[in-house]
Amino acid sequence: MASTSRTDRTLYIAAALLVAAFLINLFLGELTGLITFQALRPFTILAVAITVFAAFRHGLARRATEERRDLAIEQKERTDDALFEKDEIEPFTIRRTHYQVERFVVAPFTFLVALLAGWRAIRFFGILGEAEPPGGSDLLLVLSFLFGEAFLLFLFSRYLIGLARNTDENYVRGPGIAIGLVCLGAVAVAVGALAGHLIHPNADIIVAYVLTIVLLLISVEYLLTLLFAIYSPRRSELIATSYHSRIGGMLTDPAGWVKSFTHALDYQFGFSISQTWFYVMLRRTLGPLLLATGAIVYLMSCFVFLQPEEAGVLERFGEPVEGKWDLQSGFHLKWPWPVERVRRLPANRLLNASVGYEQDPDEARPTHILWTRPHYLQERSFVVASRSADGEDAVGTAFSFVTVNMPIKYTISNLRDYLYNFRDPETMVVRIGEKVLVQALAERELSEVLAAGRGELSTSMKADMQREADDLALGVTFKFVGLQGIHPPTEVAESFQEVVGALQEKESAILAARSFEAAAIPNAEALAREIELQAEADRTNRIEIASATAERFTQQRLAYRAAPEVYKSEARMKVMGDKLGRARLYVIDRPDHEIFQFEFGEKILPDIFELDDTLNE
Amino acid sequence: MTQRPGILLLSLLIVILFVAVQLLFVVREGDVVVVTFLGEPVKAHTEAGLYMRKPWPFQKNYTFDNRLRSMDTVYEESVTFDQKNVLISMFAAWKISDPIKFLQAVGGGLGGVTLAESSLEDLIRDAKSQVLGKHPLSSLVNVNADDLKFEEIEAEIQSKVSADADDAYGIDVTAIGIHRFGFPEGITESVFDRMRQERNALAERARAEGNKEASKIRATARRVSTNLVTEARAQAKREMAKADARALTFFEAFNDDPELAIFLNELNTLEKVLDNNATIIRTTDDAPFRLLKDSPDSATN
Repeated sequence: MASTSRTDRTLYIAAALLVAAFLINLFLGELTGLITFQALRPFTILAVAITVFAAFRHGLARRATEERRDLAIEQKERTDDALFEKDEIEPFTIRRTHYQVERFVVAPFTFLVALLAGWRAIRFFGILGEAEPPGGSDLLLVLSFLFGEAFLLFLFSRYLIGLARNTDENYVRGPGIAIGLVCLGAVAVAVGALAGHLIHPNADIIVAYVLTIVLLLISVEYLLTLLFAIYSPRRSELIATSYHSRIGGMLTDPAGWVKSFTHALDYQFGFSISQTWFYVMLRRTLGPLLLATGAIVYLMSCFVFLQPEEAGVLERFGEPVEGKWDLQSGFHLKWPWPVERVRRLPANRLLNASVGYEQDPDEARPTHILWTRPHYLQERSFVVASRSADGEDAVGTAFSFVTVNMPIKYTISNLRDYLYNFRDPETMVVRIGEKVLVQALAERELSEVLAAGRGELSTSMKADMQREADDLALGVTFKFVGLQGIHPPTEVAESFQEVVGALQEKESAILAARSFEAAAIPNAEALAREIELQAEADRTNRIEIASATAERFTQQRLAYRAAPEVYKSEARMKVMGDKLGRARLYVIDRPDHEIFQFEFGEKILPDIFELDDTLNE
Repeated sequence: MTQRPGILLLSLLIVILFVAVQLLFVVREGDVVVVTFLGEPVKAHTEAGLYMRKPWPFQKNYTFDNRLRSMDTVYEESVTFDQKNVLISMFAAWKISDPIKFLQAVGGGLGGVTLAESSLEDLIRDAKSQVLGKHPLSSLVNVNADDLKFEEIEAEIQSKVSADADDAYGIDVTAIGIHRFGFPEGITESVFDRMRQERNALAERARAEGNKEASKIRATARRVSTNLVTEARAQAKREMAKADARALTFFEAFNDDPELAIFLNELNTLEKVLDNNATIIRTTDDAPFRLLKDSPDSATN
């Protein structure tokens, strides 16, 4: 093993650099509140510990080698009478110390490092669960530091890994990987901060999760490597490299596993694929290719495509460029970030806000809206004026509540005002709507709001909201202010429905009476007419009959005068002839004056013959 | 080194960028940056653009978003002049008027803004309680629009808050408004009860009016019907009276022979009385049955 004091110094410098990076990151973490800095800390501490330990082991090995060389020279110069050479290591020598460190310290060191890393990773998951997105501050400063330290650490990592690969300085591979991991961690923190600023505020937390998972994997890997080494025939050799993370090696030294991959290919195909022109070309051009890709991706920030609903404001070093603060949809050219930047706004889109209700985004729009049932996630009741029970105007004693669902539709009319005057213009639109609505309802009665005054209220509210927005230079134009969901609160809605029901009952009662009226009067008219007509008929009948009777009597008198008895007899007989033929007639033929009793109630004799039998009895 | 010009170039680029970032900073439109030198605030940049700076750790910049921010106060119970409890939440639109004073009063970063909003809320709540205590409830809810004092109340609160906020925190309060107004739960329940009673009264009134109207219509219809029939019956009587009077003139003919008239009348009545169900018992002494008596074979029949 070729050991030099230069390697020791390099390792100690790297450790010092890591400590400096740790302190700077500590400060930046406090400054920005980025939780990824906390996730990066254990990697840095791990790298410092491994680097110092490796430097110590390397120094010990170097000095042991020097001691052995000195001893060999001394033995060569001295005449030794001993018959047998002593092969064992003498106590209190550096070689002895080195031997004991390699035998008894490396494994516990790896175990301790793995334990601490695992404990920290598990504990940190709990902290991450409660983490909140940070607020941005001095992003460029943070990025410059992170990329600066990542670059320096990268140089050290590459140097140490290269040294380990080329000169068999096996001690330095572990620190090289650990420093490389810190370098990658710093890049990840920078990417997380940038993504949190540009894409999503939680990007920082996601990156912290990734770093913590990697830390946990490395700790598990250390433990498994150690376990495997203890039971391996190559025990001492494996324990010596037990804290050289393979996972870290794959991440920080991709050339290593590419080399392994190509060796595997060579073995599988039976010829040296790594010597082919394609592989050689790929290897030579990969670096420039990646750099060119990065450059192209960066230059893409010179092109801006604004969508049909969008407009944009071009900023140069944060300041809106005169004449370029109303970019319309389509393609635009600009200087790359961070010189110029376009801020996009949905200026051509109809924007929505709602006052008085909150719709659950996961729930479908209600198909039935009833007063008696809450139909949105949250509905607010507003105070409306009312008159007191005796009909006087309310003087702070009478008021009612009404639930209002007021959707607002608006467009951005002034990009500059909308973008630069308000941090959160959408909230301000809602607040203006709420303010105007509260005031408008406080001077109106419930009946007015529920019915006829609704249209007027909607129109006046739109005008009032526009005036308020213009006073604040909000940069919006209200297109629609709807009062579509005005109804009494659900607690009293049934009573309102009862009134509607009662009104229907009233109408129903009146209609029933009207139908009675409609039938009764014509019926009475008909009956009256019938009576009148009947009276007319009776009158005619009475007069005519009387007239006819008198006339007939005159004629009958003439006949009667001619033969009085005959006429009477004829008249009597005629009646008897007409009537007695149909009546039940009993003729009694008895010379004496006996008294006969007839029982017609019990038994009616069927005919005169049976009567005769009865008489005989 | 000469074998790797790419790495050299990259290293140079990173160093240049690092130095540039250390010496330059950008103030964006809508932002304000307070510059501190060794901790002492020395300058505030309110205009957007690119500025030079001294490298860290000598100079430190505190950037604040200086656009109008909206904040809400808690929905809090207050008492009006006439001792009525109301719930009111206010909103305020505010921005930094004096960045250095703001930084000194509340500090930088998000924590500073949170502290500023918390302090501003305290000011607004205090001013709101004071101002509401001078106005009756009828200033907040009234059917007479002229008696409402929303604008005045908001203006009074704003004038009180603005002076303190500017003086103590370097904050400019641009607008203050009441965005939620209601009553405590107990009062709300009472109001609901009153609303229910109000509606019940309306419902009962509607029903009663319906019944009243229906009764009126029915009674009118009955009266009209009865009148019509009564008039018709009276008319009928009158007609019959006229007929009787007319018939009487014809009956004078009967006086010429009263005996015959009575006979015919009796005969006529007898004819009417005798019908199919009549049972008549006669003797053979009566005509015409006496014909049966004179017959030789009458005994056998």
